[in-house]
Amino acid sequence: MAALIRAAGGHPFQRVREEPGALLAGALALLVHVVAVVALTFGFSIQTQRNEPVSAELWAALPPPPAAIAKPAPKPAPDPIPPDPAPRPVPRPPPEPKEVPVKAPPKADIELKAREAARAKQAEEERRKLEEARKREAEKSKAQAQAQADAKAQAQADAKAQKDALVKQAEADRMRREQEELGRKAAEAAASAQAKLLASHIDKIRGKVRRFIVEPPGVSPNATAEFDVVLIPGGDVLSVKLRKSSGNALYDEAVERAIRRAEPLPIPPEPQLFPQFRTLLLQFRPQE
Amino acid sequence: MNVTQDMSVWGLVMQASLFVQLVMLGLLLASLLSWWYIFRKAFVLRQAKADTEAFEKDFWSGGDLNSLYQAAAASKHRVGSLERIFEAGFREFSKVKRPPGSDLSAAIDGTRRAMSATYQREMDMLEQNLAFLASVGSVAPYIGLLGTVWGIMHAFMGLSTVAQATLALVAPGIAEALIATAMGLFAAIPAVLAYNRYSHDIDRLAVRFESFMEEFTNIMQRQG
Repeated sequence: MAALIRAAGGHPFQRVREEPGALLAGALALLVHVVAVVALTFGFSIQTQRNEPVSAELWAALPPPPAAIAKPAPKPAPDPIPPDPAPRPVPRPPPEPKEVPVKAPPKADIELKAREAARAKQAEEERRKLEEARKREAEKSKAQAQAQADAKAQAQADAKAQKDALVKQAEADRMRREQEELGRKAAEAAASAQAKLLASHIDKIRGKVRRFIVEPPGVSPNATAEFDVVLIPGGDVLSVKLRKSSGNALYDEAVERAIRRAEPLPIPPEPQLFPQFRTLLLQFRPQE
Repeated sequence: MNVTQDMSVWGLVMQASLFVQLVMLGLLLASLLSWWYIFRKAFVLRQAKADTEAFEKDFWSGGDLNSLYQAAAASKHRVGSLERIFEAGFREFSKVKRPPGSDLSAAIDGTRRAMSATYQREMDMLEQNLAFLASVGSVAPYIGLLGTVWGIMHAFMGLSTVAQATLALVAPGIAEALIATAMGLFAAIPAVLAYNRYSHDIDRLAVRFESFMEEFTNIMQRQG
């Protein structure tokens, strides 16, 4: 009897239900996560970039060198003004000036110009003296007196010219020395900035390593361990070699382990600085 | 501080301990799944609402109920939940009606039963996966918190081997641990919002279905 009761025609609601946009929903869900991850990394990368200006500040020490090099430019300016107008009109004095060029051989540009100026001045002076002498000659009309006057004038002119030349040369020398000193100072400043940068980075590296040092007991505070460390770009340690033992093998080992564990070491991000960090000499001392 | 160098989110996740990484992976999967369900439910509910409105319009426009039934049974177009309820009720009513002069209340009772069975089935279909959203919404923050606590425990354990404790030593560990909490919240908040929204929508649909069932029963009774 029970067999007669049947569900007629099958279940009417077993037909396939197509669900709208299941695939689209999956794609949208993925999209949401991609956007979230991108936003997160982007937000964080802004923060990490904010730290970089600290390293950029160090460059502020470098600009002076070009300025120092540029400074010498005004040097030639003061010289050319005085010598030019004078020398042309005085071709007269024949014998004396020959001695001057022989006496002061041209050492440098500046000297040459100084000499020219000196010669011009000297020539002018001479002409004046000569005129005076001629007046006197007209008065006295004596050959002896004339000769005497000539000699005197010449001596005076010589002395004056020599003095002038000396002063000019001294000044030029002083300027050149100043200039050299400036250049040297700039170079020193650049070098010291570089050294400071290097030192600060090495300090950072040592600071990071020091955090990983597990100090064994009984190390004397003055013991210093020196290590030669070879790095690869990115700050990973290629090799660590003990250069000078601290005298305590346990401490040496602890430091070596710490260097290994401190990977990657914080080297500067600029790739052009890396060559200076390829091999490092690191010193460690307990209780620093 | 050189700590900032490894402070990208990806770097932190890669540095985390295995347990924390597993927690993060689980949360990521939960988040992906819950977003998938969120979008699927959004489409399904939008479709159900449109279907219901379309069928109500057809039904109350005064057309022939028999032709409506034929169209639904033949699946000429997409058949929505309300249409299925109507179809089940009408089928049952037309079957029971055959012996003439029998008492009507038995036929009406059968119709109601058939309709409420279909109603249950349709509600079940609409509520599918909502439980998953609810449990992601309530459990994901706790899972994230577990990962965070575990990560912080590790950070502090690592601290005990060091002579000088600095903030820089603990900070990366805590930061990477907190990512787990962030992921838990990221998974939970949309799930809770979606759950509340969708269960409200489904409730409204259910009210519509129920009132239609009452009204249809009345029509049957009048015709009978």
